[in-house]
Amino acid sequence: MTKKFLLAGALFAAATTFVKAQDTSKVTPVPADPGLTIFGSVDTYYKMDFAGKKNSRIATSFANEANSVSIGMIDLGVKKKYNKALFVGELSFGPRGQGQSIPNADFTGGVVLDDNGNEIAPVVGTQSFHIQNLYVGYDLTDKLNVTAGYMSTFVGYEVISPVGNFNYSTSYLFTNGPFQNAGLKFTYAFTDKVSLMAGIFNDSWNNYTSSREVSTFGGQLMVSPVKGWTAYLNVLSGKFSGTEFDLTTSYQVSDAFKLGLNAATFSAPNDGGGFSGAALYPQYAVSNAVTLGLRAEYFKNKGKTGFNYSSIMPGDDVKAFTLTANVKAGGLTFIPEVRLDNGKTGTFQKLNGQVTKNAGQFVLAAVYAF
Amino acid sequence: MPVAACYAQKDSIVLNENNKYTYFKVGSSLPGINLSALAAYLKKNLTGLQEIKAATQETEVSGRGGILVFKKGLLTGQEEGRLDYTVKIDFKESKYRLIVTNFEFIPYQRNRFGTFTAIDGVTVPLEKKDSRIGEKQLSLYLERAGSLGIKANELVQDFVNNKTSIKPGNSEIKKVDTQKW
Repeated sequence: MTKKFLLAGALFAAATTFVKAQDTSKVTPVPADPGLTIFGSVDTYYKMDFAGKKNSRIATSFANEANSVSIGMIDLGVKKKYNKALFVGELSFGPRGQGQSIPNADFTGGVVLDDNGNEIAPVVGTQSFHIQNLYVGYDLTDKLNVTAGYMSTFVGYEVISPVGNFNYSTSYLFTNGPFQNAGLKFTYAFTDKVSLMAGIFNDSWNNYTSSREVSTFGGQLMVSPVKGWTAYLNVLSGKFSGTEFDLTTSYQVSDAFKLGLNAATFSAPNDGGGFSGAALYPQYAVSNAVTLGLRAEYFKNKGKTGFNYSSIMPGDDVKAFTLTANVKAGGLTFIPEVRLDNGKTGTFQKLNGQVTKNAGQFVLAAVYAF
Repeated sequence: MPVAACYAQKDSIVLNENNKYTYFKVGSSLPGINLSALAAYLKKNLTGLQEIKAATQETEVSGRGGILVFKKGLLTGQEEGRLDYTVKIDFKESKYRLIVTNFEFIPYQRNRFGTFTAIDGVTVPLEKKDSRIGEKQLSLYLERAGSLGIKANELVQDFVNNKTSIKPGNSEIKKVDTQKW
Protein backbone atom coordinates (compact mmCIF):
# COMPACT_ATOMS: atom_id res chain seq x y z
CA MET A 1 0.00 0.00 0.00
CA THR A 2 2.81 2.32 0.95
CA LYS A 3 4.49 1.50 -2.36
CA LYS A 4 1.30 2.48 -4.22
CA PHE A 5 1.23 5.85 -2.42
CA LEU A 6 4.90 6.40 -3.18
CA LEU A 7 4.36 5.48 -6.82
CA ALA A 8 1.35 7.76 -7.07
CA GLY A 9 3.31 10.54 -5.40
CA ALA A 10 6.24 10.05 -7.76
CA LEU A 11 3.95 10.10 -10.78
CA PHE A 12 2.24 13.28 -9.54
CA ALA A 13 5.61 14.93 -8.91
CA ALA A 14 6.82 13.89 -12.35
CA ALA A 15 3.68 15.22 -13.95
CA THR A 16 3.99 18.51 -12.08
CA THR A 17 7.64 18.85 -13.07
CA PHE A 18 6.70 18.08 -16.66
CA VAL A 19 4.05 20.76 -16.58
CA LYS A 20 6.47 23.34 -15.21
CA ALA A 21 9.09 22.30 -17.73
CA GLN A 22 6.81 23.03 -20.67
CA ASP A 23 7.77 25.74 -23.09
CA THR A 24 6.22 28.72 -21.38
CA SER A 25 6.06 30.66 -24.60
CA LYS A 26 3.32 28.38 -25.92
CA VAL A 27 -0.01 30.11 -26.09
CA THR A 28 -3.09 28.54 -24.61
CA PRO A 29 -5.64 29.02 -27.37
CA VAL A 30 -8.16 31.64 -26.34
CA PRO A 31 -11.47 31.55 -28.19
CA ALA A 32 -11.99 34.69 -30.25
CA ASP A 33 -15.64 35.00 -29.29
CA PRO A 34 -17.77 33.94 -26.33
CA GLY A 35 -19.79 31.44 -28.34
CA LEU A 36 -23.46 31.16 -27.49
CA THR A 37 -24.51 34.00 -25.19
CA ILE A 38 -27.45 33.76 -22.82
CA PHE A 39 -28.71 36.97 -21.26
CA GLY A 40 -31.78 38.33 -19.60
CA SER A 41 -33.40 39.94 -16.61
CA VAL A 42 -36.11 39.64 -14.01
CA ASP A 43 -37.92 42.62 -12.49
CA THR A 44 -40.51 43.22 -9.82
CA TYR A 45 -41.84 46.37 -8.14
CA TYR A 46 -44.06 47.99 -5.56
CA LYS A 47 -45.91 51.14 -6.51
CA MET A 48 -47.78 53.59 -4.30
CA ASP A 49 -50.05 56.20 -5.84
CA PHE A 50 -49.99 59.43 -3.80
CA ALA A 51 -53.74 59.90 -4.22
CA GLY A 52 -54.45 56.34 -3.14
CA LYS A 53 -55.98 55.45 -6.47
CA LYS A 54 -55.88 51.81 -7.42
CA ASN A 55 -55.91 52.42 -11.12
CA SER A 56 -52.79 53.97 -12.51
CA ARG A 57 -53.24 57.69 -13.06
CA ILE A 58 -50.03 58.23 -14.98
CA ALA A 59 -50.65 56.43 -18.22
CA THR A 60 -47.10 55.78 -19.37
CA SER A 61 -45.86 52.24 -19.92
CA PHE A 62 -45.11 49.67 -17.23
CA ALA A 63 -45.11 50.02 -13.43
CA ASN A 64 -48.80 50.69 -13.82
CA GLU A 65 -50.30 48.64 -11.01
CA ALA A 66 -50.73 50.94 -8.03
CA ASN A 67 -50.74 49.92 -4.36
CA SER A 68 -49.50 46.51 -5.28
CA VAL A 69 -46.42 44.36 -5.36
CA SER A 70 -46.33 43.42 -9.03
CA ILE A 71 -44.10 41.86 -11.62
CA GLY A 72 -42.49 43.15 -14.76
CA MET A 73 -41.19 40.27 -16.80
CA ILE A 74 -38.65 37.54 -17.11
CA ASP A 75 -36.61 38.21 -20.19
CA LEU A 76 -34.54 35.45 -21.77
CA GLY A 77 -32.31 35.98 -24.76
CA VAL A 78 -29.79 34.00 -26.75
CA LYS A 79 -27.24 35.38 -29.17
CA LYS A 80 -24.60 33.80 -31.32
CA LYS A 81 -22.19 35.32 -33.76
CA TYR A 82 -20.01 33.02 -35.81
CA ASN A 83 -17.64 34.71 -38.22
CA LYS A 84 -19.88 37.18 -40.04
CA ALA A 85 -23.28 35.71 -39.21
CA LEU A 86 -25.35 36.65 -36.18
CA PHE A 87 -28.69 35.68 -34.70
CA VAL A 88 -30.53 37.07 -31.69
CA GLY A 89 -33.67 35.62 -30.12
CA GLU A 90 -35.20 37.26 -27.06
CA LEU A 91 -38.39 36.15 -25.34
CA SER A 92 -40.22 37.82 -22.48
CA PHE A 93 -42.86 36.48 -20.15
CA GLY A 94 -44.90 38.67 -17.85
CA PRO A 95 -47.00 41.82 -18.22
CA ARG A 96 -44.11 44.15 -19.12
CA GLY A 97 -42.91 41.91 -21.90
CA GLN A 98 -46.27 40.75 -23.14
CA GLY A 99 -49.61 42.56 -22.90
CA GLN A 100 -48.06 45.90 -21.92
CA SER A 101 -45.59 46.06 -24.77
CA ILE A 102 -46.68 43.67 -27.50
CA PRO A 103 -49.99 44.80 -28.98
CA ASN A 104 -50.99 41.45 -30.45
CA ALA A 105 -50.25 39.65 -27.22
CA ASP A 106 -52.25 36.72 -26.03
CA PHE A 107 -55.67 37.64 -24.66
CA THR A 108 -57.92 35.32 -22.73
CA GLY A 109 -61.46 36.44 -23.22
CA GLY A 110 -63.27 33.63 -21.45
CA VAL A 111 -63.46 29.87 -21.52
CA VAL A 112 -64.59 27.20 -23.93
CA LEU A 113 -67.42 25.12 -22.52
CA ASP A 114 -68.31 21.52 -23.40
CA ASP A 115 -71.87 20.33 -24.04
CA ASN A 116 -72.46 19.99 -20.32
CA GLY A 117 -71.29 23.52 -19.57
CA ASN A 118 -67.94 22.52 -18.13
CA GLU A 119 -64.85 24.64 -18.75
CA ILE A 120 -62.45 22.80 -20.99
CA ALA A 121 -60.04 25.47 -22.30
CA PRO A 122 -59.40 29.19 -22.24
CA VAL A 123 -60.39 31.28 -25.22
CA VAL A 124 -57.32 32.54 -26.96
CA GLY A 125 -57.98 35.82 -28.70
CA THR A 126 -54.84 36.45 -30.69
CA GLN A 127 -51.45 34.86 -30.95
CA SER A 128 -48.54 35.75 -28.75
CA PHE A 129 -44.96 34.67 -29.24
CA HIS A 130 -43.52 36.79 -26.39
CA ILE A 131 -40.84 38.05 -28.75
CA GLN A 132 -38.74 41.15 -28.08
CA ASN A 133 -36.06 40.47 -30.67
CA LEU A 134 -35.85 37.85 -33.38
CA TYR A 135 -33.48 38.64 -36.18
CA VAL A 136 -30.46 37.58 -38.14
CA GLY A 137 -27.54 39.70 -39.29
CA TYR A 138 -24.60 39.37 -41.61
CA ASP A 139 -21.45 41.46 -42.07
CA LEU A 140 -21.31 41.94 -45.83
CA THR A 141 -17.97 43.77 -45.44
CA ASP A 142 -15.96 45.16 -42.53
CA LYS A 143 -18.12 48.28 -42.73
CA LEU A 144 -21.48 47.13 -44.09
CA ASN A 145 -23.95 45.02 -42.14
CA VAL A 146 -27.42 43.77 -43.03
CA THR A 147 -30.06 42.78 -40.48
CA ALA A 148 -33.52 41.31 -40.99
CA GLY A 149 -36.33 40.28 -38.67
CA TYR A 150 -38.24 41.71 -35.73
CA MET A 151 -36.10 44.12 -33.75
CA SER A 152 -36.32 46.60 -30.94
CA THR A 153 -36.87 49.99 -32.46
CA PHE A 154 -33.86 52.17 -33.13
CA VAL A 155 -35.92 55.23 -32.19
CA GLY A 156 -35.85 56.86 -28.76
CA TYR A 157 -33.93 56.94 -25.50
CA GLU A 158 -35.81 54.37 -23.44
CA VAL A 159 -36.45 50.68 -24.10
CA ILE A 160 -38.76 47.90 -22.94
CA SER A 161 -36.10 46.02 -20.97
CA PRO A 162 -35.71 47.50 -17.48
CA VAL A 163 -31.97 46.80 -17.77
CA GLY A 164 -31.66 49.39 -20.54
CA ASN A 165 -33.36 52.22 -18.63
CA PHE A 166 -32.20 54.28 -15.67
CA ASN A 167 -35.71 55.18 -14.52
CA TYR A 168 -38.18 52.37 -13.86
CA SER A 169 -41.30 54.20 -15.02
CA THR A 170 -41.14 55.35 -18.60
CA SER A 171 -41.45 58.63 -20.46
CA TYR A 172 -44.39 59.82 -22.52
CA LEU A 173 -42.12 59.92 -25.56
CA PHE A 174 -41.26 56.24 -25.09
CA THR A 175 -44.83 55.10 -24.48
CA ASN A 176 -46.16 56.80 -27.58
CA GLY A 177 -43.28 56.02 -29.90
CA PRO A 178 -42.50 52.67 -31.53
CA PHE A 179 -41.37 49.70 -29.44
CA GLN A 180 -40.35 47.35 -32.21
CA ASN A 181 -40.03 47.34 -35.97
CA ALA A 182 -39.96 44.38 -38.29
CA GLY A 183 -37.97 44.88 -41.45
CA LEU A 184 -34.68 44.85 -43.27
CA LYS A 185 -31.93 47.35 -42.56
CA PHE A 186 -28.41 48.10 -43.76
CA THR A 187 -25.86 49.83 -41.55
CA TYR A 188 -22.68 51.34 -42.96
CA ALA A 189 -19.93 52.40 -40.57
CA PHE A 190 -17.85 55.14 -42.19
CA THR A 191 -15.61 55.17 -39.11
CA ASP A 192 -16.17 54.20 -35.49
CA LYS A 193 -17.47 57.76 -35.05
CA VAL A 194 -19.97 57.95 -37.91
CA SER A 195 -22.45 55.41 -39.23
CA LEU A 196 -25.60 55.47 -41.29
CA MET A 197 -28.52 53.04 -41.21
CA ALA A 198 -31.29 52.81 -43.77
CA GLY A 199 -34.04 50.25 -43.83
CA ILE A 200 -37.50 49.34 -44.92
CA PHE A 201 -40.00 48.17 -42.32
CA ASN A 202 -43.54 46.88 -42.00
CA ASP A 203 -46.27 49.49 -42.37
CA SER A 204 -47.32 49.30 -38.72
CA TRP A 205 -45.16 49.50 -35.61
CA ASN A 206 -44.84 46.74 -33.03
CA ASN A 207 -46.31 43.95 -35.14
CA TYR A 208 -44.70 40.81 -36.45
CA THR A 209 -46.58 41.14 -39.72
CA SER A 210 -47.49 44.08 -41.89
CA SER A 211 -51.08 45.26 -42.18
CA ARG A 212 -50.77 45.85 -45.90
CA GLU A 213 -47.18 46.18 -47.07
CA VAL A 214 -43.56 46.79 -46.17
CA SER A 215 -43.54 50.53 -46.71
CA THR A 216 -42.18 52.38 -43.68
CA PHE A 217 -38.76 53.93 -44.23
CA GLY A 218 -36.35 54.11 -41.35
CA GLY A 219 -33.03 55.89 -41.13
CA GLN A 220 -30.48 56.63 -38.46
CA LEU A 221 -27.36 58.77 -38.51
CA MET A 222 -24.98 58.11 -35.63
CA VAL A 223 -22.22 60.55 -34.84
CA SER A 224 -19.77 60.54 -31.97
CA PRO A 225 -18.03 63.92 -32.17
CA VAL A 226 -15.97 63.50 -29.00
CA LYS A 227 -15.18 60.64 -26.67
CA GLY A 228 -18.18 59.85 -24.53
CA TRP A 229 -20.68 61.75 -26.64
CA THR A 230 -22.93 59.88 -29.05
CA ALA A 231 -25.91 61.27 -30.93
CA TYR A 232 -28.51 59.47 -33.03
CA LEU A 233 -30.72 61.29 -35.51
CA ASN A 234 -33.63 59.02 -36.35
CA VAL A 235 -36.50 59.09 -38.78
CA LEU A 236 -39.31 56.60 -39.23
CA SER A 237 -41.80 57.50 -41.92
CA GLY A 238 -44.61 55.67 -43.65
CA LYS A 239 -47.93 56.35 -45.31
CA PHE A 240 -49.76 54.21 -42.78
CA SER A 241 -47.54 54.55 -39.70
CA GLY A 242 -46.98 58.30 -39.73
CA THR A 243 -43.67 60.12 -39.40
CA GLU A 244 -41.47 60.48 -36.35
CA PHE A 245 -38.25 62.48 -36.16
CA ASP A 246 -36.17 61.75 -33.10
CA LEU A 247 -32.91 62.90 -31.54
CA THR A 248 -31.37 60.68 -28.89
CA THR A 249 -28.06 61.65 -27.40
CA SER A 250 -25.99 61.16 -24.28
CA TYR A 251 -22.70 62.57 -23.08
CA GLN A 252 -20.55 61.13 -20.33
CA VAL A 253 -19.27 64.51 -19.19
CA SER A 254 -17.04 63.10 -16.44
CA ASP A 255 -16.57 59.77 -14.68
CA ALA A 256 -19.49 60.65 -12.42
CA PHE A 257 -21.76 62.85 -14.53
CA LYS A 258 -23.78 61.83 -17.57
CA LEU A 259 -26.30 63.90 -19.47
CA GLY A 260 -28.88 62.47 -21.85
CA LEU A 261 -31.43 64.11 -24.11
CA ASN A 262 -34.35 62.83 -26.14
CA ALA A 263 -36.45 65.06 -28.38
CA ALA A 264 -39.04 63.87 -30.86
CA THR A 265 -42.00 64.95 -32.94
CA PHE A 266 -44.58 62.64 -34.43
CA SER A 267 -47.18 63.34 -37.09
CA ALA A 268 -49.92 60.75 -37.41
CA PRO A 269 -51.04 59.75 -40.90
CA ASN A 270 -53.89 61.59 -42.64
CA ASP A 271 -53.45 64.77 -40.56
CA GLY A 272 -54.44 62.80 -37.49
CA GLY A 273 -52.54 64.92 -35.01
CA GLY A 274 -49.44 63.76 -33.26
CA PHE A 275 -47.17 64.69 -30.39
CA SER A 276 -43.89 66.35 -29.65
CA GLY A 277 -41.71 66.60 -26.60
CA ALA A 278 -38.30 66.52 -25.01
CA ALA A 279 -36.76 64.85 -21.99
CA LEU A 280 -33.52 65.61 -20.21
CA TYR A 281 -31.69 62.90 -18.24
CA PRO A 282 -28.95 64.18 -15.90
CA GLN A 283 -27.35 61.40 -13.82
CA TYR A 284 -24.68 61.62 -11.15
CA ALA A 285 -22.80 58.71 -9.57
CA VAL A 286 -22.37 59.52 -5.90
CA SER A 287 -20.43 56.30 -5.31
CA ASN A 288 -19.50 53.14 -7.16
CA ALA A 289 -22.81 51.56 -6.15
CA VAL A 290 -25.22 54.50 -6.12
CA THR A 291 -26.26 56.80 -8.96
CA LEU A 292 -28.92 59.50 -8.74
CA GLY A 293 -30.79 60.68 -11.79
CA LEU A 294 -33.57 62.98 -12.85
CA ARG A 295 -35.83 62.76 -15.86
CA ALA A 296 -37.46 66.07 -16.73
CA GLU A 297 -39.92 65.75 -19.58
CA TYR A 298 -42.24 68.02 -21.51
CA PHE A 299 -44.82 66.34 -23.74
CA LYS A 300 -47.52 67.89 -25.89
CA ASN A 301 -50.41 66.45 -27.85
CA LYS A 302 -50.21 68.39 -31.12
CA GLY A 303 -53.70 67.49 -32.28
CA LYS A 304 -56.67 69.81 -32.16
CA THR A 305 -59.15 67.00 -31.94
CA GLY A 306 -59.05 63.26 -31.86
CA PHE A 307 -56.57 60.86 -30.32
CA ASN A 308 -55.26 61.00 -26.73
CA TYR A 309 -51.65 60.08 -26.07
CA SER A 310 -51.23 58.50 -22.61
CA SER A 311 -54.44 60.31 -21.54
CA ILE A 312 -53.03 63.66 -22.70
CA MET A 313 -55.86 65.19 -24.68
CA PRO A 314 -55.48 67.11 -27.95
CA GLY A 315 -53.97 70.52 -27.32
CA ASP A 316 -52.86 69.61 -23.78
CA ASP A 317 -49.40 69.14 -22.47
CA VAL A 318 -47.74 67.67 -19.41
CA LYS A 319 -44.51 68.20 -17.48
CA ALA A 320 -43.17 65.15 -15.68
CA PHE A 321 -40.30 64.99 -13.18
CA THR A 322 -38.92 61.64 -12.04
CA LEU A 323 -36.19 61.42 -9.41
CA THR A 324 -34.58 58.00 -9.40
CA ALA A 325 -31.75 56.21 -7.66
CA ASN A 326 -29.97 53.10 -8.93
CA VAL A 327 -28.42 51.11 -6.10
CA LYS A 328 -26.33 48.20 -7.34
CA ALA A 329 -25.70 45.06 -5.34
CA GLY A 330 -24.08 42.43 -7.53
CA GLY A 331 -26.38 41.60 -10.40
CA LEU A 332 -29.28 43.25 -8.61
CA THR A 333 -30.28 46.89 -8.97
CA PHE A 334 -32.73 48.50 -6.56
CA ILE A 335 -34.59 51.44 -8.08
CA PRO A 336 -36.46 53.76 -5.72
CA GLU A 337 -38.24 56.49 -7.64
CA VAL A 338 -40.53 59.45 -7.02
CA ARG A 339 -42.50 60.86 -9.93
CA LEU A 340 -44.60 64.03 -10.15
CA ASP A 341 -46.58 64.88 -13.28
CA ASN A 342 -48.28 68.19 -13.91
CA GLY A 343 -50.81 68.53 -16.73
CA LYS A 344 -51.99 71.72 -18.37
CA THR A 345 -55.60 70.88 -17.65
CA GLY A 346 -57.33 68.20 -15.60
CA THR A 347 -55.47 65.25 -17.00
CA PHE A 348 -55.53 63.13 -13.86
CA GLN A 349 -58.12 62.03 -11.32
CA LYS A 350 -58.37 62.33 -7.57
CA LEU A 351 -59.54 59.46 -5.39
CA ASN A 352 -63.09 60.86 -5.49
CA GLY A 353 -63.05 60.98 -9.28
CA GLN A 354 -62.64 64.74 -9.63
CA VAL A 355 -60.11 65.89 -12.17
CA THR A 356 -56.81 67.41 -11.14
CA LYS A 357 -53.70 68.74 -12.83
CA ASN A 358 -51.30 66.73 -10.71
CA ALA A 359 -50.42 63.11 -10.13
CA GLY A 360 -47.62 61.55 -8.16
CA GLN A 361 -46.31 58.12 -7.34
CA PHE A 362 -43.55 56.25 -5.56
CA VAL A 363 -42.01 53.09 -7.00
CA LEU A 364 -39.51 50.68 -5.55
CA ALA A 365 -38.31 48.22 -8.15
CA ALA A 366 -35.71 45.48 -8.17
CA VAL A 367 -34.10 44.34 -11.40
CA TYR A 368 -31.74 41.40 -11.72
CA ALA A 369 -29.72 41.26 -14.93
CA PHE A 370 -27.60 38.43 -16.20
CA MET B 1 -0.65 21.92 -18.40
CA PRO B 2 -3.19 24.60 -19.24
CA VAL B 3 -2.84 26.04 -15.74
CA ALA B 4 0.92 26.39 -16.09
CA ALA B 5 0.55 27.91 -19.55
CA CYS B 6 -2.02 30.41 -18.28
CA TYR B 7 0.36 31.61 -15.56
CA ALA B 8 3.09 31.94 -18.18
CA GLN B 9 0.85 34.16 -20.30
CA LYS B 10 -0.10 36.36 -17.36
CA ASP B 11 3.51 36.57 -16.14
CA SER B 12 4.70 37.72 -19.55
CA ILE B 13 2.95 41.04 -18.89
CA VAL B 14 4.94 43.35 -16.63
CA LEU B 15 4.88 47.04 -15.73
CA ASN B 16 7.23 49.22 -17.75
CA GLU B 17 9.12 52.35 -16.65
CA ASN B 18 5.89 54.37 -17.03
CA ASN B 19 3.97 51.87 -14.88
CA LYS B 20 2.01 50.55 -17.83
CA TYR B 21 1.35 46.87 -18.32
CA THR B 22 3.55 45.81 -21.21
CA TYR B 23 4.56 42.76 -23.21
CA PHE B 24 8.19 43.32 -24.22
CA LYS B 25 10.39 41.07 -26.33
CA VAL B 26 13.68 41.49 -28.19
CA GLY B 27 14.68 39.02 -30.89
CA SER B 28 17.05 38.59 -33.78
CA SER B 29 16.03 39.49 -37.28
CA LEU B 30 17.36 39.01 -40.77
CA PRO B 31 18.29 42.33 -42.45
CA GLY B 32 16.12 44.02 -45.06
CA ILE B 33 12.71 43.15 -43.71
CA ASN B 34 9.82 44.42 -45.78
CA LEU B 35 7.97 46.36 -43.09
CA SER B 36 4.85 47.01 -45.15
CA ALA B 37 4.54 43.28 -45.72
CA LEU B 38 5.08 42.66 -42.00
CA ALA B 39 2.30 45.14 -41.20
CA ALA B 40 -0.04 43.36 -43.64
CA TYR B 41 0.95 39.97 -42.21
CA LEU B 42 0.17 41.09 -38.66
CA LYS B 43 -3.10 42.74 -39.74
CA LYS B 44 -4.19 39.43 -41.22
CA ASN B 45 -3.10 37.19 -38.36
CA LEU B 46 -3.12 39.08 -35.06
CA THR B 47 -6.47 39.01 -33.27
CA GLY B 48 -8.30 42.31 -33.19
CA LEU B 49 -5.62 44.39 -34.89
CA GLN B 50 -7.55 47.28 -36.42
CA GLU B 51 -4.87 49.39 -38.00
CA ILE B 52 -1.14 49.04 -38.44
CA LYS B 53 1.40 50.72 -40.69
CA ALA B 54 5.09 50.93 -41.38
CA ALA B 55 6.68 54.26 -40.52
CA THR B 56 8.38 56.16 -43.32
CA GLN B 57 11.92 55.73 -41.97
CA GLU B 58 11.46 51.98 -42.34
CA THR B 59 12.60 51.07 -38.87
CA GLU B 60 9.23 50.92 -37.17
CA VAL B 61 5.83 49.30 -37.48
CA SER B 62 3.07 50.48 -35.18
CA GLY B 63 -0.66 49.93 -34.80
CA ARG B 64 -3.59 49.52 -32.47
CA GLY B 65 -6.37 47.02 -31.88
CA GLY B 66 -8.74 45.47 -29.39
CA ILE B 67 -9.72 41.98 -28.29
CA LEU B 68 -12.99 40.86 -26.75
CA VAL B 69 -12.86 39.76 -23.14
CA PHE B 70 -15.68 37.62 -21.87
CA LYS B 71 -16.91 35.25 -19.23
CA LYS B 72 -16.77 31.74 -20.57
CA GLY B 73 -18.65 28.74 -19.23
CA LEU B 74 -18.76 25.21 -20.54
CA LEU B 75 -21.27 25.95 -23.28
CA THR B 76 -21.97 29.64 -23.13
CA GLY B 77 -20.19 32.93 -22.64
CA GLN B 78 -20.92 36.63 -22.38
CA GLU B 79 -18.91 39.67 -23.41
CA GLU B 80 -17.59 41.78 -20.53
CA GLY B 81 -15.86 44.30 -22.71
CA ARG B 82 -12.98 45.01 -25.01
CA LEU B 83 -9.29 45.21 -24.20
CA ASP B 84 -7.68 47.82 -26.44
CA TYR B 85 -3.92 47.76 -27.03
CA THR B 86 -1.15 49.32 -29.08
CA VAL B 87 1.62 47.38 -30.78
CA LYS B 88 5.03 48.65 -31.93
CA ILE B 89 7.98 46.88 -33.53
CA ASP B 90 11.34 48.65 -33.93
CA PHE B 91 14.30 47.34 -35.92
CA LYS B 92 18.02 48.02 -35.60
CA GLU B 93 21.26 46.05 -35.98
CA SER B 94 19.67 42.78 -37.05
CA LYS B 95 17.29 42.66 -34.14
CA TYR B 96 13.76 43.74 -33.34
CA ARG B 97 11.96 45.06 -30.27
CA LEU B 98 8.25 44.22 -29.83
CA ILE B 99 6.15 46.27 -27.44
CA VAL B 100 2.47 45.55 -26.82
CA THR B 101 1.11 48.02 -24.27
CA ASN B 102 -1.53 50.66 -23.40
CA PHE B 103 -4.03 48.00 -22.37
CA GLU B 104 -7.37 49.70 -21.73
CA PHE B 105 -10.60 48.00 -20.70
CA ILE B 106 -13.79 49.29 -22.33
CA PRO B 107 -16.76 47.75 -20.51
CA TYR B 108 -19.68 46.49 -22.60
CA GLN B 109 -23.37 46.49 -21.79
CA ARG B 110 -26.34 44.85 -23.42
CA ASN B 111 -28.11 47.13 -25.85
CA ARG B 112 -31.71 47.16 -27.07
CA PHE B 113 -30.94 44.73 -29.88
CA GLY B 114 -29.67 41.99 -27.55
CA THR B 115 -26.04 42.49 -28.53
CA PHE B 116 -23.24 43.87 -26.38
CA THR B 117 -21.62 47.23 -27.12
CA ALA B 118 -19.25 49.65 -25.41
CA ILE B 119 -20.54 51.97 -22.71
CA ASP B 120 -20.00 55.48 -24.06
CA GLY B 121 -17.04 57.32 -22.66
CA VAL B 122 -15.88 54.70 -20.16
CA THR B 123 -12.26 53.57 -20.50
CA VAL B 124 -10.26 51.97 -17.70
CA PRO B 125 -6.48 51.55 -18.13
CA LEU B 126 -5.63 48.14 -16.64
CA GLU B 127 -3.01 49.58 -14.32
CA LYS B 128 -5.60 52.02 -12.93
CA LYS B 129 -8.29 49.42 -12.40
CA ASP B 130 -11.36 50.63 -10.55
CA SER B 131 -14.55 49.02 -9.29
CA ARG B 132 -15.45 47.98 -12.83
CA ILE B 133 -12.62 45.43 -12.80
CA GLY B 134 -12.36 42.89 -9.98
CA GLU B 135 -9.17 41.01 -9.05
CA LYS B 136 -10.34 37.89 -10.87
CA GLN B 137 -11.16 39.89 -13.98
CA LEU B 138 -7.81 41.69 -13.92
CA SER B 139 -6.02 38.35 -13.70
CA LEU B 140 -8.02 37.06 -16.67
CA TYR B 141 -7.38 40.20 -18.72
CA LEU B 142 -3.64 40.08 -18.02
CA GLU B 143 -3.70 36.47 -19.13
CA ARG B 144 -5.43 37.45 -22.37
CA ALA B 145 -2.98 40.33 -22.84
CA GLY B 146 -0.07 37.95 -22.30
CA SER B 147 -1.54 35.48 -24.75
CA LEU B 148 -1.86 38.28 -27.30
CA GLY B 149 1.74 39.39 -26.75
CA ILE B 150 3.10 35.86 -27.13
CA LYS B 151 1.10 35.38 -30.30
CA ALA B 152 2.33 38.72 -31.68
CA ASN B 153 5.91 37.72 -30.96
CA GLU B 154 5.43 34.34 -32.64
CA LEU B 155 4.13 36.09 -35.74
CA VAL B 156 6.94 38.64 -35.80
CA GLN B 157 9.57 35.94 -35.23
CA ASP B 158 8.17 33.81 -38.03
CA PHE B 159 8.11 36.73 -40.41
CA VAL B 160 11.48 38.37 -39.70
CA ASN B 161 13.36 35.08 -39.90
CA ASN B 162 11.73 33.93 -43.09
CA LYS B 163 13.73 34.77 -46.24
CA THR B 164 10.58 35.25 -48.29
CA SER B 165 9.77 38.29 -46.19
CA ILE B 166 12.99 40.08 -47.17
CA LYS B 167 12.81 42.84 -49.76
CA PRO B 168 14.59 41.66 -52.88
CA GLY B 169 17.62 43.83 -53.65
CA ASN B 170 18.51 44.71 -57.24
CA SER B 171 21.32 42.15 -57.28
CA GLU B 172 18.91 39.40 -56.42
CA ILE B 173 16.53 40.03 -59.33
CA LYS B 174 17.10 37.47 -62.00
CA LYS B 175 16.99 38.83 -65.53
CA VAL B 176 17.40 37.25 -68.87
CA ASP B 177 18.63 38.84 -72.09
CA THR B 178 16.42 37.37 -74.80
CA GLN B 179 18.68 38.78 -77.56
CA LYS B 180 21.43 36.38 -76.59
CA TRP B 181 20.63 33.01 -77.93
